[in-house]
Amino acid sequence: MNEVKKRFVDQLLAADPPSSEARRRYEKEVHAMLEKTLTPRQRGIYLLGAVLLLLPAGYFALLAVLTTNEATLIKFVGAYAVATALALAGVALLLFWGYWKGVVAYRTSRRWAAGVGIVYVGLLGWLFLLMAQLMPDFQNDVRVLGFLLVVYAAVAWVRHRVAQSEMAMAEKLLEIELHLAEMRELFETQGRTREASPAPPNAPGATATEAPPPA
Amino acid sequence: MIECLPGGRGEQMWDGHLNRADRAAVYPCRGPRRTLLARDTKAVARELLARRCQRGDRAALAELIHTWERPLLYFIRRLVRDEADAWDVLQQTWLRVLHGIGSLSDPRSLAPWLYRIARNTAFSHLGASPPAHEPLEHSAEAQVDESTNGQMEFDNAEEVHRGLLRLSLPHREVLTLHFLEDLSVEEVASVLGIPPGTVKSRLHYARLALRKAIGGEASHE
Repeated sequence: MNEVKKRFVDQLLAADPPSSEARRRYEKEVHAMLEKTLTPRQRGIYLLGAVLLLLPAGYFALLAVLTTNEATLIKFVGAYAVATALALAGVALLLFWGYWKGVVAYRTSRRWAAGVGIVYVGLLGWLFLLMAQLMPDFQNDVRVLGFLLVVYAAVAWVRHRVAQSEMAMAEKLLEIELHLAEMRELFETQGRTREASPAPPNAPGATATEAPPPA
Repeated sequence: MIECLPGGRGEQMWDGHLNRADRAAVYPCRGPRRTLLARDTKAVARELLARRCQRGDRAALAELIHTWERPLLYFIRRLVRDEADAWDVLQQTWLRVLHGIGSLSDPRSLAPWLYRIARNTAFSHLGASPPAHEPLEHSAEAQVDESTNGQMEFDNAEEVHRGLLRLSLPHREVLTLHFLEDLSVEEVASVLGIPPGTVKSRLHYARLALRKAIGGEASHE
């Protein structure tokens, strides 16, 4: 957009000034939209969700404590219970954080919840792989199940990291392109200025052309 | 001009789940020859802003709103006559934009995407359907003189603003887009949901109508 067009657009926008009262109300609402402030009802739902998740987490934690002195195979049940209790407590913590702050960043919360899920699946798979040694009758089945879970978690994690790196790389390339475009525009502007301004009288080119013809 | 030739470093990299637009941005050396420095700062800055918004950068979202709220409001005001309604539509537009920016497949098309959302939101707010393109416009495509850019044939913004109010809705929206943005005919077509040929002819007739409206106003004075 050249300067003339830009000035025209500015004048066009200025020709339709918005009322200050409507603008103030709009700015307040957009600010709330960006902050993602929770209403009291939403905060209540977040709190309820956190409590509802903490109940099974507590149950699994209790189960883990009760199986501490049991046989080795039963201890694995306790280990599953610990992993499940931690995963549930993690999600409950996210919900409680939203309730406490009254503000939630959906994208970040979803990312954390997904991270908890991936770690949980990976941990379960790893426990299955360990437990397979204690179950001679189903050793292969349990091992395959554990392997599949570990691979699933690993692929999900790698995909996430690759996507993050790609986004970062695309942004870096665009930043470089932006710098190059800015430099090009600067050179073009300087070139135009130089062409527009007359050459100084003592410049080597100027003296040759402007010198009077010999008498 | 710096040119990027095929066979660059990006060729060896795994890009299994990138769509075409992402791949073009991440690996500019891949595919057909693409000239670097072909785009101006504004286009690159817009794409960068769109990508930062897609990442969930809050500062970028605030910048997006700050940069676009005035032109979008002006465009919406040309579709919705009441100012309070226009502010409501703008707010709903931002709500849709914030929810949908993550799924914007081509960050280069940020401007037409924003205007398309604003337009659809305005029409759904009014409970009306967008104006359909008339067959008459389409048949007149061949007669349109494409040599006139029309960009600076109107130099008085006040007159243009008043003249726009007197035009029909299809003419008003196409001219508002034309005046506010450097959108290509294809981009305007994607905003309005009509063929590019129809955009050309509609722009032509809208300019004539605007000139007439401004002339009529001047003769009244």
